Amino acid sequence: MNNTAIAPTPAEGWRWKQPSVIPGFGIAFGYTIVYLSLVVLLPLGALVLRASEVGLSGLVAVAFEPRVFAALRVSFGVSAVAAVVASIFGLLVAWVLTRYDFPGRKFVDAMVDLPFALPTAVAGIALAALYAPNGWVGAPLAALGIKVAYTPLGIFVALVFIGLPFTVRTVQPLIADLDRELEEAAATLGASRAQALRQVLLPPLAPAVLTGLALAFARAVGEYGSVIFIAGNLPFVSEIAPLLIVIKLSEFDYTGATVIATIMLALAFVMLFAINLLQAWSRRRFGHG
Amino acid sequence: MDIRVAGISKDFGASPALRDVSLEIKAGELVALLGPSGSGKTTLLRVIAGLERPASGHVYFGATDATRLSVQERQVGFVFQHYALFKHMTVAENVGYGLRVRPRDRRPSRAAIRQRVAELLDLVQLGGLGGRYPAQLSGGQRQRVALARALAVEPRVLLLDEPFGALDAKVRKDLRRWLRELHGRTGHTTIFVTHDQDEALELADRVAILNNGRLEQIGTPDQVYDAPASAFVMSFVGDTTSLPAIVDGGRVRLGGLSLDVDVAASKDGPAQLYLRPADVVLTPGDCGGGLAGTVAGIRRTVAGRRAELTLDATGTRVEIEVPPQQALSVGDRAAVHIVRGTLFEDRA
Repeated sequence: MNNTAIAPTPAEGWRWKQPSVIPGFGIAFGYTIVYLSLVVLLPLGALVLRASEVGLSGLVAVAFEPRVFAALRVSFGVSAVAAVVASIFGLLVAWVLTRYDFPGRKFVDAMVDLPFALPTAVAGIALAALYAPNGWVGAPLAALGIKVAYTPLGIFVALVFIGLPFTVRTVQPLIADLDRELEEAAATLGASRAQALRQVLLPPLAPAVLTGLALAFARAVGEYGSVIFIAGNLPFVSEIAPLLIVIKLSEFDYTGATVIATIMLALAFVMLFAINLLQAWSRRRFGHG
Repeated sequence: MDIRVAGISKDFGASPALRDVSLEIKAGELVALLGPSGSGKTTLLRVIAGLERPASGHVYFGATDATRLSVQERQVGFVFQHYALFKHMTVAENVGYGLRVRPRDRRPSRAAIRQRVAELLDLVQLGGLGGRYPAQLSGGQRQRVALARALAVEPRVLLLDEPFGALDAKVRKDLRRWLRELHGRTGHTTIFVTHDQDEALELADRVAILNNGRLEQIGTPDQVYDAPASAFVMSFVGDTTSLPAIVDGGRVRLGGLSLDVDVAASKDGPAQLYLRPADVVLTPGDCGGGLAGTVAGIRRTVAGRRAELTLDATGTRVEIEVPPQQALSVGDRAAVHIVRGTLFEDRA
């Protein structure tokens, strides 16, 4: 044995804080907790507290009121479909913006973020005007018998619009990092372009696509401004849950409003948690860095 | 499979990467493309693989002209410097990839693929690691996975781009010997790119030396080392010192001395005399008969010691290998006897 003795390490156990060379754990952690409490937990807590006046059975009863149930179904159902479609489009947009050089690329790249910046009501009015039965896009579609504005399809269009930037921005850096050699390796092994794309290039992007999907979905569920102008807001058909909350508020039914809000919160949490699990799985499956 | 490259030229933008390169590689040969960075060696390898299209010239695989064939059609095994393993696939999935993507009529059965992958992993001494992901392997292991993946498709030629470039010296040496053995067993026609002269000389049957997009020389390691075709080959392969000399009437004159060096191939006029460290003998003290100088520095090398001598006559420095036991220190006077040397015309 020519090694010098190594000092025995203390028994491994759970520790409040791992030793680290990065300073400021205390202040950073404290600030995070305070900030999260004030900005996120406190308002949400107050919301749940107010809603708890009706009890758990009351919550369930409200959730299954026909009009509320229909609105929740529209909100979550259309949001889910819109988030999936926005992610697929977003992936395509990110691919084109990253992999190809064309005149006006920087311009298009900047344009992707416009749905973030535009006041949502403006987007809603613009979309409603375009897709109305006498609008530029609505008229030809109406001639084919497809009605977009004032139907759930209209809500879908609005939600795809606001959800698009999320996946573009989460996936873009990963596409930029894709190693050219991976494609070349696949080609030397005999893989066609389509095979290389599907089996080699896209799988590593899955975690980022799911992140974008979760963000787009969360945004879509809570979206109000752009939707109400194009949705037509017909109860049982194209009425969204956030609108129902606003209606309750204007009737001074604060408890009723918080009850619907709490139900939405719970549903959204469950769905986002599910997406997160899926993402964790995809990271394990595809993310071996 | 014989590989023949004829008159390949290629440029990137304004700078030529390859200028009229022609070479022939016999079936089963292990050939090194050696050159400094920017010499075009990797570009030549990529042209053979079909990853780059040459501006002019042809690539032949056996009797067929492969110049217009796509990468997929060429059936080459290519190993990239940074491995280019698919990170989301296990080692076994990586190795079997080339078999799984074949069209159905040529694709082996699942069981056959599994068997072939297991054989290849044994061949590269990674048996039992098929279930791991590339991130869980060391650099040398990843390189071997990349090699197994390239061999899986039964390539007509195996192309390796700086195969050991990213590995440390010890692993490099082991892999080098191992690759030599593997080549002996499988007999694939193999071309590898390197900037490491030791690697090229030790591993290859023949070495092709490139500089500035041109093929300077191709030959066995002995030929390129002992009979370099140009001053570039002389100075790139092995250590050399050069001294300005004048060829005059069949004699080489250097700083007032007349040397007994073979000058048959040289015209009269200024020339450079290239010396390998072993071409000169150092005698301590101010005895006559050689080029006198002062020891300017002594460095330890793996094999022995190397002295730097400043010559009185020309003021230039020569590096000379001395036995480790010879007493010598900085500032000592010494004389150099030139045993042999190689003359090239002065390019300046």
